[in-house]
Amino acid sequence: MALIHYTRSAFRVLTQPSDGPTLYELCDPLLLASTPADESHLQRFYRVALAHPALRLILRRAGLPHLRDPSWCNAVRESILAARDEPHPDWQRIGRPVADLLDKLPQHAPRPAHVAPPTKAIPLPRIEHLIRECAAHLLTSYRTNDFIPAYAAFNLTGDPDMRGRELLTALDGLHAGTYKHATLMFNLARAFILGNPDAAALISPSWTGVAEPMWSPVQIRHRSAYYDAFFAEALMDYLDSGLSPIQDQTPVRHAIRQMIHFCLETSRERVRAPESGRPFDVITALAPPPHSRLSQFFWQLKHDLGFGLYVPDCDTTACAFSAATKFNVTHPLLDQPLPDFYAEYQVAHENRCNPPTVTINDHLDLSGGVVTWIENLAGDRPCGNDLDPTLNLDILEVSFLNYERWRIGQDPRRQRTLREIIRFQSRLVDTGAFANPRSHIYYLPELYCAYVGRCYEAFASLPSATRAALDPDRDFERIRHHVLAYVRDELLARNTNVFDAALGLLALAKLNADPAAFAPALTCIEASFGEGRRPLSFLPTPSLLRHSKPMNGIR
Amino acid sequence: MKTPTRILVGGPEVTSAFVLSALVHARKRSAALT
Repeated sequence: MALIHYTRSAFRVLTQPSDGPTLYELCDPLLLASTPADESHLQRFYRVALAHPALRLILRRAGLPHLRDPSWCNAVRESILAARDEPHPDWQRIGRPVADLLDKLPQHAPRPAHVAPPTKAIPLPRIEHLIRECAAHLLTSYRTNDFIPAYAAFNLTGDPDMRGRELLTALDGLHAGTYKHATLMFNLARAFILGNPDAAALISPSWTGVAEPMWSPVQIRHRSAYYDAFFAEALMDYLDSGLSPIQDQTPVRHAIRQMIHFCLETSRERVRAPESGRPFDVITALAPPPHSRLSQFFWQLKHDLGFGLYVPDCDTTACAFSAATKFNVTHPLLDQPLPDFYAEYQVAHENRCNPPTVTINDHLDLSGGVVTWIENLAGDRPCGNDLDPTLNLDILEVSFLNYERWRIGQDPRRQRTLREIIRFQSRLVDTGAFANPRSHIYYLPELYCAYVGRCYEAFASLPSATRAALDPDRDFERIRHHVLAYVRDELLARNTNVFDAALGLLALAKLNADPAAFAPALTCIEASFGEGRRPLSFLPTPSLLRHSKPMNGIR
Repeated sequence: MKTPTRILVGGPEVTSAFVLSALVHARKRSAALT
């Protein structure tokens, strides 16, 4: 966003007359307690998350004309009071007036313009230089921090796919009251932001490409097993490239070993499979402090707001096991046949007590998919459950890598688990739904495509008889064909940023595309290089996960 | 998850890691065909 537009928006936000009641005129009388000691959870959440001075400054004049209607305004007020006071609230009734507001304020997913294909090829030495620069960035970061950080940032404008119906689904499907409160209040604030374009422009400026930049001045630096596994895999790619100088190889291997140790030991959590009660060690989403490296401020804030509880998830477990397998680690955790565990979380297989409850993507046939969240030993699952397609690719990938170790070929139940996930993916791709952001809970379609490539690579490494047994209808070849066409003719035919380009290129390369198709992505990456300040190679903007759990979602 | 708000997760290292992997695999694929 050009500075002049930003300045104009800021001026109007500060000076324009309000057109209807503001968030604070509505909520302050209902939710500001005389002292913090008297606060309910909803009041505390409002004070800390929404009524702080920075957001007040932006939203102080952001009125909503819809709430000039006294009956609508009263309905919202009654919803807040019911959420605050009722011991067993009716969340459908409470959410309805806010859901109606959201439906009056539609958003649209970014759809960049088509661009002409590049005319100039990127020479191989330049590509090799970029590879070394990226590796140097990761290694420098590891040396400086003693881990490689990821960052999380809130965006109050929400997700375009999250409309009134989805809000009501979430209010019912989330288990913990703290999450329901956060859902209600963030979506109420979101309505005020969406109804005031200048405020929205300050909170979420426009950007190039699909993946959304992380603009927020407040970014939560953290360490998690999901990202350690991811960084370890990237560094393994660097070693495999043969481009790492001798002096780099020992520190790279050391960093990978440490990250895998973080996954398998530091983040390990004992649970029981929900149907059989069989014990399994899985990988938790966020290890407790000091391991997660969250600042004391944010950790305390999360705890104070009622989001201190963490549960493991199927995705982090799959990715951690995958990284360890690829690095030829010997560890008893890896001997546990994960398909047995996943079968008990698989829809329309053995999952009887953990169905998806936050069914925002229920336009899909979810049969065969494995849900996200794993119940801890105390039986907690604060977020309810949901089902994400990319997560299910990770389950397939780790199972292909461990096909022999887990004796999948000798076990019909394990084979069935994988075949059902393949059929789920096949339906998703055959219908074209994979390209619709609404089909995904956590990731963008472009990340799904890159991970199809990652999964396909593992599948292709299996013997042909094994591939035929798992995939008798050659679903994987159809999936490959459709995803390649989407990446080449849709994603990379439009204006991209470096993150879109990297994901598209990863999909093309791993799905064995003609290298001629690499040109748009390579050109974008090359042109973006150096936009960030040293030692960063690229502007630190695009994000991997586009949405996640409230406060608990740092995976 | 798409509720209650968007939490974006990423950062400079995440971008570098994706670019690194993408370029390594693109180079490998190109080399395999030459």
